[in-house]
Amino acid sequence: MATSAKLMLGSSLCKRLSQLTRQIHMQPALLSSFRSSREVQELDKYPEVEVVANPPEWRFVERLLPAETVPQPVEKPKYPSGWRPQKEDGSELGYHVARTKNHMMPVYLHTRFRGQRRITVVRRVQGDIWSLEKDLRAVVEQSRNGKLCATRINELSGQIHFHGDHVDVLRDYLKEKGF
Amino acid sequence: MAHLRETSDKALKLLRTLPRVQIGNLRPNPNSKQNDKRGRAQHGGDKHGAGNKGSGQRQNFMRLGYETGNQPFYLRFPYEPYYKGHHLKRQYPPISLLQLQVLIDTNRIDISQPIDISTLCNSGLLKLKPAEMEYGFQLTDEGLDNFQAKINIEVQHASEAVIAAIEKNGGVIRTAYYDPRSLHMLANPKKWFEKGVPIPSRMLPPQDAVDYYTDPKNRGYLANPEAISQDRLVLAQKYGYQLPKIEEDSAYEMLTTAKDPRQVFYGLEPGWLVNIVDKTIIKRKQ
Repeated sequence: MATSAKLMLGSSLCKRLSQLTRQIHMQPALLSSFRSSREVQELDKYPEVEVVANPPEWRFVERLLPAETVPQPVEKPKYPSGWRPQKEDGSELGYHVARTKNHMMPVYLHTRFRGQRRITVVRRVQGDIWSLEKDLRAVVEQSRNGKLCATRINELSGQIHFHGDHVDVLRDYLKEKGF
Repeated sequence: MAHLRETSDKALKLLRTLPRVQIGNLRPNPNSKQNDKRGRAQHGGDKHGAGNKGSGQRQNFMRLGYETGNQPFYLRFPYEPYYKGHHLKRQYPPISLLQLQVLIDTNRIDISQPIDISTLCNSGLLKLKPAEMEYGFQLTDEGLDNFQAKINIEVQHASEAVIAAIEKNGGVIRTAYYDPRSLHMLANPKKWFEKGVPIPSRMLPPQDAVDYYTDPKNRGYLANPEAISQDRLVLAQKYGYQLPKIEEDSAYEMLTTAKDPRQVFYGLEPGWLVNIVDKTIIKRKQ
């Protein structure tokens, strides 16, 4: 008797709780759909359903599924954002700067010591890294009105580090070159 | 000087055979490392940096914020409720027109279809966290002058200049509210479909968001459509551009596609259950 009363109390509490959880529609990810869902009722209480194979609305579902790989850029007459597809393959210059997986220029700014030290990093360099460094250093030094710029080459990982923030200068130059 | 040159030659010769100078074969600077042992008695056993006498020497570390009798800093000023309720405020992470243009140029977004939160999240470059009170995206005006795309976009917040930039290019913009549950579905539709749950209907906006989404100036989804088309003309005159006629556009059908205020996904009605394994939709019998 006592146990059945306990069960009754428990089930009524559960119902009240599930009602409460349904009322709260904030942060649904935290609430399990199992706990907050209604208990299964008799089948005739549910509406009749039909399973539609090859439904005409399937194209709307397909549109909601993400692409499994990064799509290749399409040739367009113009790119208003300033982004350009890669044209140069580096066979004439002897060096090549590959694009990232998202088809972006691999030039980054590394900041250390609360922004006190700024280092521009050109990554994904292939081929003659030394002559690329020579060219890029000339561009940076020209943009600094002839002031010298310290650089460091890591030929194993194909990276060039420039002292200071020259991201825009280097990105524009490499883009102009067709990389 | 001959021997000097010889020495430098020898040094250079040695350097050539040595491995590359790198972090792995450098030793730390002299005196840069502190000895972790402290001396005792006559072997360096003095005050060990604790000072002479008092609480310093006894190392009775005082509780955090205690200032030895002063009124502590954390009690010095009365309570000021600047941030009252900050954890309940709706957040709208920004996405600029420049970012949107880059997404279009790099073929991450298909502009032949209407754009909404799921399109932006499915690009893989933008993320929405509804659990952190992010209620959708706001479109900001960076890159406004270079924006050239005819799109049908639905965002959650947009400024007047952004609306003008979209409409100048013959596009359509709409601001719409989504409740957190719908946002959770839109942030990753594939994952949500895998749950195998019927699509719920979208909630109406809370009281403090009703004014925004019923205002035709914000192109709110609950505003009167006639008032919106009138305001498109008004905005074109204000910013001084010729409003392209979307009625005569070849993509008219796409540009005028809009969700029902109770609908979460384009083309899919609430109550339907999508089975992405068998490629079937379970609907209620008519």
